[in-house]
Amino acid sequence: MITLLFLAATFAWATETSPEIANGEYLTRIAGCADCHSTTYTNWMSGGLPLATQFGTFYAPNLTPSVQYGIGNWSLNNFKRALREGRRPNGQFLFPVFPYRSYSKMTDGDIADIYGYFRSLQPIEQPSRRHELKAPFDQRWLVRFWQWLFLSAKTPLGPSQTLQNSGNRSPDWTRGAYLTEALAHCTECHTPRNDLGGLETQLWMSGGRLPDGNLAPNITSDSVFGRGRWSRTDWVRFLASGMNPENRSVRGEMALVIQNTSALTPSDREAMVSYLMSLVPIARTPK
Amino acid sequence: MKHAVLLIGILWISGCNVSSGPHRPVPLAPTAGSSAQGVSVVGFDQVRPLLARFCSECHPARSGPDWLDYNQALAYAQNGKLKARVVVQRNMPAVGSPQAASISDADRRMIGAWADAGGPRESVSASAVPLNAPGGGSPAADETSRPLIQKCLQCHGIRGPGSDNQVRVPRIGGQNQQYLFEQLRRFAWRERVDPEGTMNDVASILTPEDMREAALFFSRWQGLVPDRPQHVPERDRQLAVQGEMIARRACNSCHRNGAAHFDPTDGWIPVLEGQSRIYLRNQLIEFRKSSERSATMHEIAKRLSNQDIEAVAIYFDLVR
Repeated sequence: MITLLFLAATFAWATETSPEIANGEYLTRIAGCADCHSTTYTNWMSGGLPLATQFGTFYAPNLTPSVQYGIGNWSLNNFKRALREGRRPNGQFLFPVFPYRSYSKMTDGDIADIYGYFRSLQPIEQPSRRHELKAPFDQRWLVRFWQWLFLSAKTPLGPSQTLQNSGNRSPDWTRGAYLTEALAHCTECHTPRNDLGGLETQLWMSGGRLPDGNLAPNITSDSVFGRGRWSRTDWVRFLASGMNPENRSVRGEMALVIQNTSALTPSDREAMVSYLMSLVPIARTPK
Repeated sequence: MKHAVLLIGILWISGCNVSSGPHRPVPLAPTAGSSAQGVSVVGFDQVRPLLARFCSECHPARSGPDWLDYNQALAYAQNGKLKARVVVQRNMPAVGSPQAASISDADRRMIGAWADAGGPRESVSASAVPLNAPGGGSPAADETSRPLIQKCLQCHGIRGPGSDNQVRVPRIGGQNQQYLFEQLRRFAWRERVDPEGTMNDVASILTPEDMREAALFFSRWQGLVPDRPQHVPERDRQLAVQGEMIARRACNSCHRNGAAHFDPTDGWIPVLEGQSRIYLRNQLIEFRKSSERSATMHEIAKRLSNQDIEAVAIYFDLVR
């Protein structure tokens, strides 16, 4: 009995975190950081997952508070700069495989909470692996041009056509737009890219091709090519459990995304659905 | 002496249930003896006296909700905090308080069962599925004597095939109805293969009505899970702590660490609390090998090492 009580006591840590860290953990989950920055659930955020692209293979770095290998020396401002400007503390450019185009839209408060959550993690002393990139894409300074072309931190969450009349939208919809565009970064896979790796803003969420060759479907409200026939219930169920209206479970990387969206609070999930259902229909099959 | 009186009380109450048959109303007295016995779904009417006795001394006067107000209590039943504090962490009523000294395990279980059931206002009467005693869990004779149910009970029992950790057979008492039905259908159609073939053979001779009946029968035992093992070895305890961390990151958002948050759209997803560790381990290894049964589970299991699988299986086995 005493061992059982002790067992129960060790389960208590979860509720002892501050609300800020709890919010940070929640947002980290919705933003899907662990999908790339963890290879298992025990070496959490210590990096290592390879991402093979046409530019070469990227390896996600260590985000634990390890001073030597992680972000143990980063200040909040360093962290904010990485998300907003795609820069390391020393000013070097970060490759946009880290989806800071989306994350740059996060609020200061949310960035601070996520930073707090990362600081609360167990440091894991695991060196980050060097990217193996093809020339000339291994030149970090070239990212300056990419940022000049495609990073627009001051513009609204998405392109103007998806956000038209945003002034008249409900708070629910606005929250959904924020979750979808700034955190869950759905568009990074579901919007096609041009040859320079920039998003085709005219074709927002109309389906893209993943680096591994798989297709991310058109999720606009087009009733033939997109998800226009999905009801609100279908959407909610899909984001909660990964089951589509035909009772098939999602495949591939989307399964990890569903693992994140399943953690959404019911109101946030409804909000995200409100936004997704409002996407301007585009009749197009991803290529 | 006190214990002897309590024991006699328990025997008396359980004796009443047996002798008076399945249609006797449940005794509602909030004492240790009542626990969750004889109730298929615990309602607010049943837990309110417990909340009054163990919670209202401090709440809402010092902090927290007014537990006697249904809507306030419901919010805590549904956000998981009630069960987490009272049943899992056992740090409410506050450690050291007179309430903590007087609340029994059965009271805690009953509060947990109410949260598991999603915090219903009314109890679903026990007349449909009474239990004889907290430990035994054998249902009314007229239902269990059905050949169909008998067949299931031979291997599964009501709360699982016993506390033996070496069981490969899953515990299905209290499992989701929709999930149980779907698994029977898959076994019958060989969309899911039992390595030993037993479930495929059994399910292949069932009609859809049989499947529905069996699923309903076992799903009614919501919140009634097997008693915790008496001794937890140190190694298991350490693994369970690791398992809890993994469950938090990998499992709980869908499986919800208890059924409190289940909504109808999630009825396809099984409850894992109290499941046999051997069964869980075998399933996770199977999911890791192939994406055939669930692409989602395949992606998740791919990221679990053998030790992770063991840890998470032990955690769900122990967390009840």
